[in-house]
Amino acid sequence: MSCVSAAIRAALIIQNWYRGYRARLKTRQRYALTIFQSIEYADEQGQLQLSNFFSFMLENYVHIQEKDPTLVNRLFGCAPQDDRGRQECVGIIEVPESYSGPRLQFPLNTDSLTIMIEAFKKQQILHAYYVLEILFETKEALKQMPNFNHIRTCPTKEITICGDLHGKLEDLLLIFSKNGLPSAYNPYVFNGDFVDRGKCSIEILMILFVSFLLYGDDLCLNRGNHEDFLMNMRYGFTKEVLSKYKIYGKKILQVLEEVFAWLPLGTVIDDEILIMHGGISESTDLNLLHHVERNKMKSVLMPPVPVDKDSFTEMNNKGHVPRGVKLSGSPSDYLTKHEWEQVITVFSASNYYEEGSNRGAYIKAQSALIETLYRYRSDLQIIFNVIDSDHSGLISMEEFHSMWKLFCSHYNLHIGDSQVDELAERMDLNKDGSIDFNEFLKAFYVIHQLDNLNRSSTQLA
Amino acid sequence: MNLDNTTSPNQGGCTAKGMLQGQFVICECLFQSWRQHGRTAGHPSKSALPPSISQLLIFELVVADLQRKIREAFEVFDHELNNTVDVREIGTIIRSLGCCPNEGELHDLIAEVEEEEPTGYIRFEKFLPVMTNILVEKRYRPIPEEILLQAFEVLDPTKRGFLSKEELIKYMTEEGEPFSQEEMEEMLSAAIGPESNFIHYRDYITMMVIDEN
Repeated sequence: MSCVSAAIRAALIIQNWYRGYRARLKTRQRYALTIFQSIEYADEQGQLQLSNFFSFMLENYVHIQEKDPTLVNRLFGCAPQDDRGRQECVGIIEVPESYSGPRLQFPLNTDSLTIMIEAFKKQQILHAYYVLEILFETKEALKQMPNFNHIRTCPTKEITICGDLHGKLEDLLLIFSKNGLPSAYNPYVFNGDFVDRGKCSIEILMILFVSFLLYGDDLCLNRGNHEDFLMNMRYGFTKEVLSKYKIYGKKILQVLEEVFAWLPLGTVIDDEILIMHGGISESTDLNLLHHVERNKMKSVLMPPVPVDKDSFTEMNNKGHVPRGVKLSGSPSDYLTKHEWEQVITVFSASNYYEEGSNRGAYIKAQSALIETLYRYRSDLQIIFNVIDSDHSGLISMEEFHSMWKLFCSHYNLHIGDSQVDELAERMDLNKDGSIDFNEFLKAFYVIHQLDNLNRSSTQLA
Repeated sequence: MNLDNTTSPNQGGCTAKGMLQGQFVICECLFQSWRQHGRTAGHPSKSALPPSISQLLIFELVVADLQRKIREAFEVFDHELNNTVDVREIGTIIRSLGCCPNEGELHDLIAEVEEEEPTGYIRFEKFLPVMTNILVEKRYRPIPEEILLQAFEVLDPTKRGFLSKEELIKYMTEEGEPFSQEEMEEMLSAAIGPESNFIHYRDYITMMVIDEN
């Protein structure tokens, strides 16, 4: 038996075995996903029932209130709409000397973020005073924003897109450690579901909101179906807040409700990629979503009040002003049924997960130009090294020109001379007539004339 | 039924075929193999007897169990819940059932289960009998760990105990039934850390085997 054929047979064995292993792994992952999905689905059914129940209550509110006002108060009974101003509310809170948690300065700066993260790593709890200040600031900032965030990639910036966090602080910190903290040079999109289930939902919110306040345009937050007071009551966020903040928990939750309602519905990258929690269906009307008054959507489980204006006026005249119910105010405080259905399509679509993996994942969206550069990087390096014959790590301008011509002819690219000059100019950072390869790699633009470039790659965290 | 609990061919044959409706092919397999190899204990003079009713019943249970497994594996990839899967998933499904056809064999299997005019989708009705046969006949058995280890050792003739990353890539992507880029990257990411350049294959195999179980 010749060595060559033994090697081939050995390779065949290894390949065969590996493919079997990989297939079984893939199947296990898919299977886990289907199980997860059916659990979620069963959950959703439960939610639907809850939602129907609330609908029923709201529709029959008047009758029920007449018969049993205490029942109504118990069900919908939060305190009467508390519109005390921010100053009144936060101004009276004092942070005691004994408080050992993180202390923040306002206006916030980059230190605030790192101080907070370090504190959270040590399981410290941020004082309610700071929480409320951050929440109020965030609410004001969010109010200024349209329903969709807009963000652009550019060759020097990759955008990182993260999915559900669900209160798992370790996961968020892992993403930051692998990918860097958010900054103007390191944009992020967080696609909803920051809270519930995990134990550190409030800490995650604080980190996200502070980052948002610091880097507004480069830190996009999308509302998820768990950014919702009813969901929070069921899935643990409410409990977490009330147990961590015994005195001010209720107030925090109240302000949070409004902050959630003001979160944008989605993010658009480069006018081409839409990121929304839960995705959309064929019947989603994106134009409508752009114009809907998103802050009127209090909860994914609370449909719009199907009460007509007349009966409302009647109720008011008789003095049965619905106190303590989210109904207070006029029907125009809620989305119309049509609008609500559009948004619900966004939040209730069951395709939460792409790949059947239970590990956290984030996506990097790159500029198409850098994508191409990346693809050709090893070739470029080889070419560079060939030309840099004295291995100085630098090439001269003329060498750069000739290299560039070589590259273009190899890949059949058509770049004009003037463009090459411009590039060379820009790359010669210290203006000494020579180019350093690292700078070259970073700043190089390959203007590719093909159309369909794959614009993102996935990484598993 | 005869006194010694055997049945005459026709009776046994009819009953078996009646029970396994539509599974003629499987039953034929069984009959063939019994005819070739089966001997009733203590009666060497008799040539192979057909299986008894109880043996056929057991066999039917086994087949039913296998078919349940086949259905479960199929359903994992039946995204539209219409009893079809993308043809590109067939390999994964077959392998997930413990069989290890090589790429060539897989290609032939796909041809067997495809429609006359390939649609890109494989229907369960066509897949089930073919897959049942494979499982009953125990075709495409997986490779024992020792053989796998020997394969690595063939590629490492000086017995260093490891292969370099470059060597592995070369063999996997140039010899045998070459890996795609994706397959190669995946294998490497599991086998070595990003800084390392060597695959200690003994440890690697052990790790993979544990992972599987």
